[in-house]
Amino acid sequence: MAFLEILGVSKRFGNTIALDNVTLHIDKGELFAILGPSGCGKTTLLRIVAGLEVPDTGRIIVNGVDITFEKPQNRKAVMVFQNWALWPHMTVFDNIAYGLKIRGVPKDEIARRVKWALELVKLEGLEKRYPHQLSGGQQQRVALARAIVVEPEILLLDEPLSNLDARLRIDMREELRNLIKKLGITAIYVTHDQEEAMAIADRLAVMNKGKVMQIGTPTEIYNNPKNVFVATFIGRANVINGVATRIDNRYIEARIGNKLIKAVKTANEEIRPGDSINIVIRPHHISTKCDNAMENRFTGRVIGTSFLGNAIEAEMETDIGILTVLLPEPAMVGNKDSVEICFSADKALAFKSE
Amino acid sequence: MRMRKIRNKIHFLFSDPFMLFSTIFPLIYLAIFLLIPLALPLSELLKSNPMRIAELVFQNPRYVSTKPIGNVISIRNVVFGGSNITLILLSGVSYGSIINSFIVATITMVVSTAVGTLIAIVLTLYDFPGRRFLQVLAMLPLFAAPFASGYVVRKFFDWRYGLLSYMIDNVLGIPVRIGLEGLAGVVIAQILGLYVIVYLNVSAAIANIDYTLIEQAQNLGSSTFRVLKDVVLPLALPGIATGASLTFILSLEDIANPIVFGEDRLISYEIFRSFQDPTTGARSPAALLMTVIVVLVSAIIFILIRGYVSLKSYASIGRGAKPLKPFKLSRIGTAIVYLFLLPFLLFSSIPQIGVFVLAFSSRWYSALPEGFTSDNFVSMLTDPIVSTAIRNSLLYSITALGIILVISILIAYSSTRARGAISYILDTLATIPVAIPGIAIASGFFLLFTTPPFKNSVFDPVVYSPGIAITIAYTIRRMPFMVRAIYAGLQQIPTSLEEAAINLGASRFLAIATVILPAIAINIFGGAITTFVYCISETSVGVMLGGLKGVSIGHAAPITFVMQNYLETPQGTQIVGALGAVLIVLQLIAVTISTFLLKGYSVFGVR
Repeated sequence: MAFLEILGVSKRFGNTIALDNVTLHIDKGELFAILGPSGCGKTTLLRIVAGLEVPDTGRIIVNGVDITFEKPQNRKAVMVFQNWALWPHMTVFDNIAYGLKIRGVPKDEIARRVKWALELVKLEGLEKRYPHQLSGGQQQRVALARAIVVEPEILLLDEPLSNLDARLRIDMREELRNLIKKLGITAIYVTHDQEEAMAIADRLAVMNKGKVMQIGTPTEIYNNPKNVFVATFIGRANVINGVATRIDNRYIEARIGNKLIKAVKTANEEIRPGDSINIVIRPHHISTKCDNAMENRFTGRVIGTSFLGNAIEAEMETDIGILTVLLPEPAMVGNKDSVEICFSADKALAFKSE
Repeated sequence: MRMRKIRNKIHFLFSDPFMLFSTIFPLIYLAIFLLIPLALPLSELLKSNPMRIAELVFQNPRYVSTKPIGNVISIRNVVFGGSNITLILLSGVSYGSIINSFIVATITMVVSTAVGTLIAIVLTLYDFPGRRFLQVLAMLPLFAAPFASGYVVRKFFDWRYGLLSYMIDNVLGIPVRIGLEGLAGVVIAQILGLYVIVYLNVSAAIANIDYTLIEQAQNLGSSTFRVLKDVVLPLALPGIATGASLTFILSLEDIANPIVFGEDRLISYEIFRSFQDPTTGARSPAALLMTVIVVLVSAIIFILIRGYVSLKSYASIGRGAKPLKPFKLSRIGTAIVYLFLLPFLLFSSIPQIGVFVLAFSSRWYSALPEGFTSDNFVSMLTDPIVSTAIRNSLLYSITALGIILVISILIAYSSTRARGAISYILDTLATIPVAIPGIAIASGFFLLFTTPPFKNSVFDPVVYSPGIAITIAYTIRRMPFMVRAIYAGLQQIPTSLEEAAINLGASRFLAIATVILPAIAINIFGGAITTFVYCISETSVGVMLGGLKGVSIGHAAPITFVMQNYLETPQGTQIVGALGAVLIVLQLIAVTISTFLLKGYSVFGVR
């Protein structure tokens, strides 16, 4: 039995369905990310676990105990809010000590634990400052220290790094993961940033329109997306529409205009000849170095390029439509060049059109 | 699914007793002291034969008449002070009390809206030397002293002993005297006092416009006039509409100016007069019918305007709103402002200046005071009737403030945190008293507290004392000021600040006490000052209920009642002036502090 079970949770706000029968099982000590676009229900789910919202249906079970209707203050699920929610009229020390004071912890013990938390987040010496006297990164650390100092069973992180600049975000997410792992806390990390989710999480759930689309490790989800949404949300991908012509145990052949494309059949969907399908191929799986092992070959005319530092991203016009191709530097292609491009059938995934 | 959802919601609500209390308690309070008093005149009316009463009232030329009485303006030659002069008298035409009230309110609204909007555009949208000074001058009418301000207007326009006629006839030597009386006097006095409401609402609405919207229009080739017509005015419409509707309602409920001008052919005066013999008068069918009319009209206007303003609240839909940068006014424009606007603003501050002159004058029968003294302030404090009234007003206002504080915190909290129909109802109930005329609340309270179970209890204003009724009426009438101030504070605080505290183990009550209240302390303080001052200067309820137990030593009337009572007595006028001056100074201090603390929030809606 998992440590935290979210069972069949649904929630509506007026006519908007925020969560639609969501079920997740999260193990003790696991760092679990919930990934999805804005408005997909991920924050609502986190707030339901925290007790700040009550689900319309469904249950929240922690360690075998149903806490669905437990008051938020009695849960041991502590949240780090997206805006960090630091109290502006309290010092760093008072912010961090708040939860301990509420719990009636003796003064000297509070001082000791606040010191411990400050050391953990590397903010020693700043306890007398007010939130407005701190940088964004420091404020984020105070919010984290305030949450971990009460030793929660579950740490809920609602896009905690989204207010930081890009470089700091990358540094902080590594620190955050190391810290959570060091403390052994079960954590749910909500984000819309797929790179962040994959970098930080042990496992993740991809959500869309209130539903869980797929659950798995970052590698599983990246390599074996269950549908076009997951494939395109996790990493970049070209989506080509076609009609299935021939199907065997592993591959599907599809007609796109005058061309035939071969792709891997995804396991979870029944596709028959004549069905409309989507073929997903990631830009870095398309190459200009073509040999016989590459079943799918075309001529591509470059219509635009973007320099990314270690690679060039090129838009190419082909017989099967416009494709985005990632070419390692030096790529030696320029606008209006015609080049031969290709990809292996094993790297192209075929999904039934929805 | 639906049943489970409702069950879960109920479960959640009952698991949070504070939330439940903060919703239910204010609802009960407002139901008993707002809804029931407002419904009572209607229910009393329905008990008799309402159609017959309506027929009798509407056929009585005293209330509704198709034959106008009097002239708007009359010009005639008279002998005054031994010489022939031309007398121009503005008095107004009467169509009966009910029609008169609506005509007066309409004229006041139209003129105030036009003047207030124009001034707001000039002073908010344009920059010129001395703009700040003119802005301060335009704010002056906000600080009004009941009765005293109106008295000064009447005195200024008195054709025999007024300053205006004195200047024209005696100083300039033109044998013309101008007089203002009756309905026309009420209209002019109201416009001078109320255009500021429109000015404040419209200038707040203009100041809130995202400047990039104006820049975009200019960038696409609009002239300043086109920017004004196509961008500024449409975006300021909610402010204009709010200001216009408030001036209409405030004119309808105005009791002080009709009393000052002795104009009894108005609904407010009719209702006021019915209280002269409360046991029969206040329950008279005509008074009940007029109260019902006033309540219905005001409530409809309020609901319409609230819906309209919330529909049109699109002042800033994009990110990163840029503050307004006023246009530079040309030299000709500046000259026009100083030639027309400055004299008007100086003219409209006559009541305020005049109240101070009155307060410090020893005698003021002719055009100018005959001497100055500070004795009026001493009389104010030593006169047993007046000093008792001051003590009563302080007691009622402080008590009301305490009640308002508790209920407003609960209401503002509950309506910002609990979404849904109940919070909407609560918020509407708490703000609707802005639009409900005080005369209607006074009538309703009279009926409520002279009917079982309150009859003959401590609440009964006739048998026991009007003190409790007045205090509770203050809590209802002035609650919107406090609710809006706290509401403004709560909206600035992310809900997550409180949720973080709850999430860390605090109960909701503790989270409010340790996180929310300290964070909005400034709003509470600012709101409290404003509320207190507006309780002290409350007029309608004080005037109508204050004297129910008589005015002798140890009376229970507040100062506004005594101001009305003393207005026409020898030496009493000067005491009224002194009281008025004190009220203006108190308002000035309150508004300055709260504006400084709350960074210019508006009680009346658009900001």
